[in-house]
Amino acid sequence: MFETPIPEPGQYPFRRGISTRPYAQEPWTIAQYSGFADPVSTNRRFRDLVAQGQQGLAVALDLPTQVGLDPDDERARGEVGRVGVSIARLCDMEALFEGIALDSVRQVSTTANSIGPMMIALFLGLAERRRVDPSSFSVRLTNDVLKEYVARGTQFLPVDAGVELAVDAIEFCVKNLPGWVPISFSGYHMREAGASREKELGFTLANACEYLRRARTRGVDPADVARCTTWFLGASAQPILEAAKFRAARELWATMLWDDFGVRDVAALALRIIAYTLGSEYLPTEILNNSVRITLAATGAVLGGVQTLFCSSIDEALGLPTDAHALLSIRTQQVLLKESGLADYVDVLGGGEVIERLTSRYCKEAKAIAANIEERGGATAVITSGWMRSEIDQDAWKTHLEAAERVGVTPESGADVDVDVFSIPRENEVERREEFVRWRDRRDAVAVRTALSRVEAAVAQRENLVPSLTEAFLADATLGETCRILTERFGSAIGRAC
Amino acid sequence: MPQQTRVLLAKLGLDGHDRGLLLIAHALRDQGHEVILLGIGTTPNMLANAAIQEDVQVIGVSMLSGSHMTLVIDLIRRLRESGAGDIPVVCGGTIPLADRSALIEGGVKAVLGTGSSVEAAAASLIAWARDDRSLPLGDMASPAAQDMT
Repeated sequence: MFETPIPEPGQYPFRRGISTRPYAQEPWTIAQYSGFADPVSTNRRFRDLVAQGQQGLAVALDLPTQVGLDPDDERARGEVGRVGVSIARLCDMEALFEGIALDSVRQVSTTANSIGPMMIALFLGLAERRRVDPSSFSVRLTNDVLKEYVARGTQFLPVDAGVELAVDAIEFCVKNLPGWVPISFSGYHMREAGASREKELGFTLANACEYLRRARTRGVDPADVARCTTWFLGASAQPILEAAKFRAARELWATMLWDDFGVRDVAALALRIIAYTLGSEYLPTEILNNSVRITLAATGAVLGGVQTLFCSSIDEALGLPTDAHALLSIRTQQVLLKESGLADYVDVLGGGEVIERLTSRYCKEAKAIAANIEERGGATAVITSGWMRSEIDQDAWKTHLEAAERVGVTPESGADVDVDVFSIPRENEVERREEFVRWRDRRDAVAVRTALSRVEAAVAQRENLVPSLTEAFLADATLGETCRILTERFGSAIGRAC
Repeated sequence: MPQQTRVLLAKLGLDGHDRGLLLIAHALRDQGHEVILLGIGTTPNMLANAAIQEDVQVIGVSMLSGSHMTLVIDLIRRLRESGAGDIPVVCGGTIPLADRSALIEGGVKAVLGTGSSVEAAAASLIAWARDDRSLPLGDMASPAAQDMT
């Protein structure tokens, strides 16, 4: 039925995968998103996770950190240490990774979506204090701020300034740390906000183009950006549809880089995918059922040939995971990798009529969506105008009206026994704030002021901010102080659409 | 034309996950109600002021980041201090069971956890706005809280 045969795994445009080797020989990275309260508490969880065989450490940051606010900021009240760990200064990074050799884990990643260069600078500062070479380990940032304005809401700068800040991280890593991942083009959060799979792909592609173009105007080769970036996509509990989507993502990216950016180094065209199971699908009732949903979602990611996989915890709808539920998520992946037999094949679905038809359809529709965005002036234009957000909202409403049938919404009697919920005492925020303020008052105020004025100068001269930020954190400047320099110049967009 | 209700919807704090809130806004508007949507990044002070200025009949707050015990309780305090303590507040989101009763004791009328339907949330908001006990008030509305109104 196909006009031309589909290229084998490992061959352009990589529909069938980026490698010829099965996971049994080249396992995916088992990752888990975690972080809460203060750096010392999260460090304890990290050490447990490493002991349990986790290979990727993913630092969940609290919301004040994500939008560049220090823990004593009035707007941070109630949010410190809630959905992630509070990181406001270099010594927080030291506490967070105490006793963990950074080169012993495959990759460290963070939810730095709007503060990419600050997070790179914090890791560089940590490397300097530990006297280790930063290229001896790998940091992966999310750093895709565009999707924040339409889906996730943790932007702190207006769109244009926000994207340029993200490009600082890309430019710095491409030129200095090619083994790091300075941006993960993210469809996941748009999908969670309601977007269909087609829009998840099409919007991610359009957003990625925006970064590539802006980086190119700074003299950064799109091929170099492609080599060190990933896509971050969602996985629902519909494994066949998701496998097709992951296959389509690779083909879309490779052909777009080839056609529109002239990239000819085939190795640079091979897309590495990070998949995360879609948290919004998991119900607060009969939560054991979520384990089945998570396994199905993870299966779709494995069938789709992803490189890194995050699994939600079964208590996702109730709060942060308990230790037992976090362990179950890792065990789920280990069973898939070591016991299911799925790791013995490469793109086992490939060639099947259904999977190839679905993959082609996702490619075609996502390409049309991205082309439509180009006609409307590009990603920044359709984000600023509100068009992209309204497209996502329309999909969310449509999904709501279709109301797919769910199992176990009204629990059977006895099915919902008392569930342990992870909780963080509210005193934790008070202690964190008080300790932070005491620490700040003891700093070398002159050194901090001098270092911050270098950041101000770099902002004014539109230099890449990573070097001056690194010096600032080494001089004990805080995250909030560095971000305030930017909001004073460009305006604050916390809580605003654009 | 059904009776129109003025509803104020917002997310308190820094969390940006507003899919649920937007669906509720959409459903209420489709039913003919007037929805004022403050959206994400709202502070308790902003929300209390907006509720008074817009003369709304009910406030719906969506909380998914775990900051509800600080921010929603603060909202109730500010409303009371401004003489607007009679505006009912309905809260939805990731609220652990232990906190639900604490929020109700603190003056929240109803708490709708994750898993509540959009329709149930919309119905609860309208029921409290009209103070109509014959309407569905929401799963977690405690008899004690109802007696206080």
